[in-house]
Amino acid sequence: MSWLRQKIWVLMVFLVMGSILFGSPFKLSAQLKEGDIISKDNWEQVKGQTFDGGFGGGKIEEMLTPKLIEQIVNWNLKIRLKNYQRYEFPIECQELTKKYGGTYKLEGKRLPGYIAGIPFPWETIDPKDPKAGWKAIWNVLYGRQIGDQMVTPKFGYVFIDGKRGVERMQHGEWANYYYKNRSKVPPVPVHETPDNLYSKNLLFFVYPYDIRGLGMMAIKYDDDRNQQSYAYLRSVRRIRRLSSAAWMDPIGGTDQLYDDQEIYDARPEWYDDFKYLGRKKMLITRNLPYVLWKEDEKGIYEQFPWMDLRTPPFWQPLSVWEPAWVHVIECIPPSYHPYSKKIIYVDEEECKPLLSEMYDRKGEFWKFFHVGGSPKPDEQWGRKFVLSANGHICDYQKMHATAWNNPASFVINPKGISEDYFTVERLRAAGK
Amino acid sequence: MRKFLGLMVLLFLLVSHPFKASAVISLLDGDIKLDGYMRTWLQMWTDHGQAANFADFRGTLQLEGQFKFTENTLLVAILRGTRESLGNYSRKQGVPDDYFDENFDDCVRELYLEIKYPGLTIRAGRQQVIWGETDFFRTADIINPIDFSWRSFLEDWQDIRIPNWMLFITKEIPDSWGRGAMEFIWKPGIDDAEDVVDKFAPTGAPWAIRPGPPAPLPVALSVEYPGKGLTNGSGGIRYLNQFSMLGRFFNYSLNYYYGWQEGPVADFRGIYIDPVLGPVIDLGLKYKRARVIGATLNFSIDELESVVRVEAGYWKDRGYNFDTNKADLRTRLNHPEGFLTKDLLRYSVGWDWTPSQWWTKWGSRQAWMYSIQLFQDFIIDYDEDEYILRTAGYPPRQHELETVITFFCNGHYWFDRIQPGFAAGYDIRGSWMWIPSCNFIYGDHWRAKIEWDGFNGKKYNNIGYLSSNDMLCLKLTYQF
Repeated sequence: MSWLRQKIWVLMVFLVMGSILFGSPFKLSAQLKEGDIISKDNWEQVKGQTFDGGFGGGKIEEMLTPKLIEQIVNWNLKIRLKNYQRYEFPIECQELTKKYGGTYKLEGKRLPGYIAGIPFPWETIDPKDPKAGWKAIWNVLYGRQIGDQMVTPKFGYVFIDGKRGVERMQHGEWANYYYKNRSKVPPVPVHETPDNLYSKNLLFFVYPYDIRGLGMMAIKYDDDRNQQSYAYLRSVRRIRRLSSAAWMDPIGGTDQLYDDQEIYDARPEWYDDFKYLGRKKMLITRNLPYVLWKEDEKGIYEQFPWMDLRTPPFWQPLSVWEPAWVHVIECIPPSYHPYSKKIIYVDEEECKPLLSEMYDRKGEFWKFFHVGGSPKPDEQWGRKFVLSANGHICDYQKMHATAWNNPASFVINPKGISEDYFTVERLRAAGK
Repeated sequence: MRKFLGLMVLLFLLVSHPFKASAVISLLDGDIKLDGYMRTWLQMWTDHGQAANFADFRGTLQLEGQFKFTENTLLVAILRGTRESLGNYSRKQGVPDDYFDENFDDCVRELYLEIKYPGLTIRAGRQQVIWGETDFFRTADIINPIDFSWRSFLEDWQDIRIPNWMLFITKEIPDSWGRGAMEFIWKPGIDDAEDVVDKFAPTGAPWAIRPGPPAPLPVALSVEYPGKGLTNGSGGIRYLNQFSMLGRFFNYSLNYYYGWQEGPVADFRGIYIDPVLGPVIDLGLKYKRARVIGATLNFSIDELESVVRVEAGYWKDRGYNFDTNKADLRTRLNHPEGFLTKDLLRYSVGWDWTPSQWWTKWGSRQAWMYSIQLFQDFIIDYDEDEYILRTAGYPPRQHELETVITFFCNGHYWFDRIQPGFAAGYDIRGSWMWIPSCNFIYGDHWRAKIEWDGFNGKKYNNIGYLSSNDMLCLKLTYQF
């Protein structure tokens, strides 16, 4: 009998060791690791498992929102896990926040006298403060770090039909100049203007032929005035002034509204309210490489390896997701806005919204917006600023999406470009 | 024909080049960029008793290239070949068989070199320069003439403007609004004579203006186009900037242009006896110099989701014919050649409205754009007894104040893939037009358009002269 007992013990030891090494159906809470992929095929199996990711992460189900889980289960979203990687603002930006952060006071909806830095350092926001949502949204508007000036010599919109796949493409160029919160390119920290400017933005389309030369320029103020808008129309070869009042209209034929740029791009004064819904650990798409569009490849699948263009609904990103602290803000637009609410998820370290859910006027889920943050060294000093490497805005009611992916070409704080570059005449010069 | 074949061969070489299907053709690391389109038009008369009567069929191949020599030096070339076949109805009217073949000789549409310095851009070569912001009719947009023979003023103007050889310099004036600039234009007078003034389709061809009443005697007509050479050159200067007042930003420009009047005046040289025809009217069509000082202004009224545009031009000594039978004796004696000059104030007011209310969007996600424009011509020192006429000797008379109102709106559906539009115009002397249309977008390469152009009114005026040109137009484009 002792011989038999000895055999049983040996067998049990092997079973325990095998379970540890190769996984076991008896296991209640297993650890997922970097590179593991969560999809609808394994969702039931992994949802209760944990992913530490070097961050002290948590249970998968708890690090995703219900709408993300719905996309995994019903809409073929795949989540490839990645370990946490810390992002720190450039030292100059940190110093500006140390100097100016916390010195501002809200006056109703307004935040007068902004100069630089994150206006309300995240650790100072009390979730019980009735103004917490407003403080958080001013952080989003002012605090994000995308350089003092930026040029994207090429980006590509991909229009996607949820039933048939890729519909068409548009290529464009994009450039921004900021007057506030400047950290490197003189003048810092503010480029003073008599008219309290906040930014100038240029957008040109270069493909396809019928929109090549179409250009737009926006001059934005650091107050609640509407921006000035101009368009160069190549079909008539002239600059036309546009009304700026429709800031909540779609951008051309895209699924994105003007105030959806970078997920949130409106003056907070134009919104009715903002509610702070808390700080939580979430899986989000950050620290992506900044070359997501391989434009030299011939086929569309090869050009966009970070998009799941083969699997319905053809619009999901094939991104890496890492755990990070996220602040959740519910934005309540005015009654004439197409959305009844928009919930945005803001990466604390990047001070940048990376996920968003939009609801229609009936309160029903309408769109989901994925943005991938990508730190890239600036051209002159090598400081790392965070730009959007990709964006996928997906309309689940009309089953249509617009996605963009950047090639390697965006340049932060480029040499040889100053405010003089941002003129209305530039539209015509570019619109050949 | 050889040029057409040459362009086709070039096109074949381009499309067979192993470039990506979904991008502009880019060679030498992006230093050379090529694209363009092939397009066909089919136009059918709809007002000649027989519905769907074939009017004409046009095919166009356009190639556009940008060649970057250095970071600051760029050569732009736009080549275009067009072949056109007229329907039977048109041929019966006696349009010369080779008339439209001439279009193909104009194969190099634009060719200019652009050199950039900080704040300064110099463009030299054959090109288009546009002043003003009006649609359908021109107030400040007088630098390049227009070829109205294609589809009158209904085609994209970049395709029907007649490019001219000129030097165009833009000096930007830095300011916080990025709107200041000074522009200089000089046309040295090396364009072909016909390219300096507007061009119209010959009588009988599609889009020809309605013929005037028959002359009492046979007419020997000769056209004196502006000549070549420096003395026949043109030039202009424009200053643009912005000012702020009452919380709004106003963009304005001031301009002066010395060029050629876009249309001719008829020069009555007398009557001579032809051995075969008997008495013949010797009539010359000549072009007068244009001296125009003008200004533009626009501003946004965000409360109304609107932009207001105002343009004005003061024409010094603009030529007008008068009715030699109805003008008073003094006029006839003082101007035996049949024309006189008057100063003209031409202005327009436009209102562009992009409302966000749901009921203005007609079910679209995107706002429709609605635009209404008022154009007025006001003759200075107008004298009823002079009985001046509108256009080169054709009736009716030019009144002291002439008014045209236009309207258009357009929308976007199905993520921009369907774009309906509607345009209308009304000349208060009694004629109107209405133009429903729809653009279709399919993928990156295919575009289609269907448009119906309807005109009404018997008067010979800004819109009425196109009556009898009701047409259905189908346009199909493959762009690459």
